[in-house]
Amino acid sequence: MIKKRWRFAVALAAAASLLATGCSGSASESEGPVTLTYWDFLDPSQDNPRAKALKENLANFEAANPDIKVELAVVSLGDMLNRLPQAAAAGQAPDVFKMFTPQVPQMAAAGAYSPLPAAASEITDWLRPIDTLAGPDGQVAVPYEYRTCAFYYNEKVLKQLGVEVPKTYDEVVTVAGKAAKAGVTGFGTGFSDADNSAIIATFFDCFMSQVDQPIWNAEGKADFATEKGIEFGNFLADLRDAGALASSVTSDTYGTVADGLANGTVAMTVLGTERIVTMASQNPDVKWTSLPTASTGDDTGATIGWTLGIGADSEHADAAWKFIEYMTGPKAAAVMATGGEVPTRAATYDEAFFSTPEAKTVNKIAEYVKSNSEPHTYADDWIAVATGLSQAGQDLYLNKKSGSDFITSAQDAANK
Amino acid sequence: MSIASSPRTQAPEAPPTSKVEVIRRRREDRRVWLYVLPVSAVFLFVFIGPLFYTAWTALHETKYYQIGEFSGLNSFVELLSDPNLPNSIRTTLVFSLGALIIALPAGLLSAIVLNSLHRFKRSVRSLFLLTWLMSQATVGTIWLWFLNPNFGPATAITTSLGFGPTDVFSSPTTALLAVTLITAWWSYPQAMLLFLGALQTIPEELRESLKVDGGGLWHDFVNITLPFLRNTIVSVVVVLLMLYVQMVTIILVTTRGGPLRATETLSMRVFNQTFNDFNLSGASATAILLFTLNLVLTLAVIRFRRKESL
Amino acid sequence: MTTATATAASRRRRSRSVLPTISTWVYIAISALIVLPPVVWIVSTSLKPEADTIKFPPEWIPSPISFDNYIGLLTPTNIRFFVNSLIYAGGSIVLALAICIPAAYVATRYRSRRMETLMTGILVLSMVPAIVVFIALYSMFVKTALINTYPMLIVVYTAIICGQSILFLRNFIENISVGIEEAAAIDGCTRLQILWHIIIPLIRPGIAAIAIFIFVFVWNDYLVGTVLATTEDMKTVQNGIVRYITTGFGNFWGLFSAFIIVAFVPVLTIFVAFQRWFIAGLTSGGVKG
Repeated sequence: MIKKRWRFAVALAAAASLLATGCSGSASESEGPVTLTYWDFLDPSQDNPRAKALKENLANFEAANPDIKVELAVVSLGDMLNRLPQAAAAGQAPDVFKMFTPQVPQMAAAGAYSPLPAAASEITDWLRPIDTLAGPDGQVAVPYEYRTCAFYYNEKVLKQLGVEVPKTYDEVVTVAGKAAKAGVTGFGTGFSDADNSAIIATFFDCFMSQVDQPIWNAEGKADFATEKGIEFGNFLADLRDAGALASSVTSDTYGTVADGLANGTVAMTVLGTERIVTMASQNPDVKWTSLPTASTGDDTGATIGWTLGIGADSEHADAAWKFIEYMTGPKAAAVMATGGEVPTRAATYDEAFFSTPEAKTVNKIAEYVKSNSEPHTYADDWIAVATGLSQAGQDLYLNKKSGSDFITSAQDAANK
Repeated sequence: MSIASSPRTQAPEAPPTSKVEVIRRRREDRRVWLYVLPVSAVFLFVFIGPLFYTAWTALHETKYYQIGEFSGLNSFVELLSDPNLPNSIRTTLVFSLGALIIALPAGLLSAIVLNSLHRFKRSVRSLFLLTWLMSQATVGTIWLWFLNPNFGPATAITTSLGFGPTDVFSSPTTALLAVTLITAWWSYPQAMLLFLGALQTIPEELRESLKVDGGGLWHDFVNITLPFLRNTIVSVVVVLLMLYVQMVTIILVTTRGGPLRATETLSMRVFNQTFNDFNLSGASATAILLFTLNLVLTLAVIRFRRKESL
Repeated sequence: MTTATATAASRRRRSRSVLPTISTWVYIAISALIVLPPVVWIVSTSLKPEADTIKFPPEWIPSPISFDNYIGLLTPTNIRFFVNSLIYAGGSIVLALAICIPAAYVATRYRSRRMETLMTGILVLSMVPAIVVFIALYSMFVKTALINTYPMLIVVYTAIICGQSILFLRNFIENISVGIEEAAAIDGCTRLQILWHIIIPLIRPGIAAIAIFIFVFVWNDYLVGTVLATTEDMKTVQNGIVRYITTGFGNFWGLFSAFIIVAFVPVLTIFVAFQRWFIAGLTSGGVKG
């Protein structure tokens, strides 16, 4: 009888929900061993090298530290940016969380971090300076992996066009125009804000470093609509006029451009170095080199990457630092490198893995990060800057705005 | 002493024969309210509380979900002077009315066709209901994949016909058009269900006119059947409009309000202001506007119904 | 002469009955052409091996057919999404029936001005736009431990569908003759006993329809899960679907398509098995979200 079946199902659901109320998403404290809550966007159950490396490192850490348990909560970056400020205000910030470099000052200003313990200053072999990862109360985060911008190009396409690899942004425009006529997307970028405007914001970050244009002034207000800043806008406008932007550029994201590069429909682009390893296996025609130069002739981009920090009011700051120290330390970083990420400490490169042929690419990228990038400070409104850039980009493409309009409206949007 | 009563009359109150019975009856009457207590509590928690909270935040400044000082009608002034507001309102209108114009006739026609079938009724009904069974998230994403500019079948069709790839979500006008069509595609079965219910109560003589029988009967359809369905049509219009005005998921999953706010309806604007701009006060002001709109729609219906019954 | 007209009339009738059938079936064919392609495309994608999903020009019929995607989507995270959705749906059905049936009963039998006001109030409140409610709840509770818990979401779901449920159940209860209840009252049954032993069994079809309606509503909901569940381990099946689109790493279209199909199966099964009750529930009027 339906009724009996329903009664049983209903009772089961009721019992399940009663049980489950005890198992909601927040961490539980166990007396004795310490349990750290750790927010990461990587899902260890996914089947990709980065996730696998994370899983292995977590297991190794727990094995080496039997009195510390790590409870991983998978939180997307968007959710993290939303929740960290109020979690901190409610005293519920996680013990450790991953955060992307430009957003560290913003989260610090929102009170999401505890300052790092004194033990943190004992580590001195970071590949690049770390003092930019600070908030109003001092050092709050350390780099977990490094990346900077690289110029990717499809060698086969360029050969077919009979052109050399462009060395300046003006040359890029010319080549992109030719590539567009041959039926591929000349230069890949994207103006979507779906992924926190990742591709345009990262490119902007590196370009501003190249032309030596600080993004904010001394008062923390966005101030980049200068002659040098306009070069960036003009580059995009020139690409548009040459027909070299994809027709889907207003909704393209970091991921779609990387996909386009991998399947040969994008001739050139500027992406982060973290894609080098996977790109090599996806499409051997795609090569990478240092950035084209602008008026300053400089190809030094911005050092960015994922960082680790301790959450505000964490009750296990020492255990948290132990965890961070391990995850950025040589053993864990060597495992991480197998997933394609670039370790951040010099000591790591003495590990056995880095003398093997598999490590050739990672070593090369590490060298590139050291020689071709500098970290810099960010104000506390990077998200607004990023969104402003993608909105201005959409405007530039759809309404044929000029390069200077682009850079001015992005700056104004950031300052609102 | 039970009187045979029609289902809609109340239990007749027998005169109390003793004080004890009076007390018991009064206690029983009061206990009636216990039966609605849980519902009321839930409604208080989920609807009334948030409504007041929204009004409260709209009257204060907020930073990152923290309520700051009292700012009076500032947020409303900002809302009404926001250059994006006319755009949001226009987008909401275009979106809602556009989807309505498609879903309403499609629902009516489908109901008529379904009603006139004798064989294969179940299968055809399943076919018609299929899109409504899918969730909004499913609908948005499968169309995203179908219209994918690089790998979707839509691109294959358009490129083979000589047009470029299908980039519907990259340009403002096509994005709004796409979102409207997708929503109509998903929601027309809701209209069909309501019409089906009404069609089954139509008297026999009018049924003949629905058998799509050639020129002469079209006149009968328009002049006899349609007026009969008028109440249902009003109900369907209201149900659909409220659905469209509150629609967030399909837009969120496909365009998130872009490009350049081309698909940012009022609901989408509330969502974006809260989670992208962290502007809780502004979002609350917009939310109050949205609520007023819904209320107006509902009151209009109640007025219409009352006029009809006079 | 009569025979001539009779034959002519029957011929006209015959041609008349062919024409509507043709136009009916033309309509059905056009509907199928509009409704089916995206669905077929998803099924097709789900059966393709990973590399084939991004071939261009696209193929409608996968060759070879591969079930890798269906196996690949069985990650602990995805399974957790299904479990969560089941818990939310089951919990909402239990809670909604527990609180709406008594309310509907009392609202039907004990009409007073105050009761009518309460019912109108409930109806009006159900018209509050869902997005407004969710955002307010999020800001109100994001700092507390209530957010991101099973009870919170279940209560929210219940509140959303309660208005309609009460109206729907009212119709059923009205059709029950009061005489039965009076007889039971005279025999000494309390109101609660009447409700439990008499009313509920008699409105079983209504309860079934409501239960089905609630299940489909909660299972298909995306917004509540997005706003009120803040860590991945509390999110719903629909969140899982969109997760592939927003954070899919590499080539995920095959897995995504398989996930959509698997997520759709419960609703489809319930529909096929309980078509009549399903439609009864859906016809109860405006659906939210």
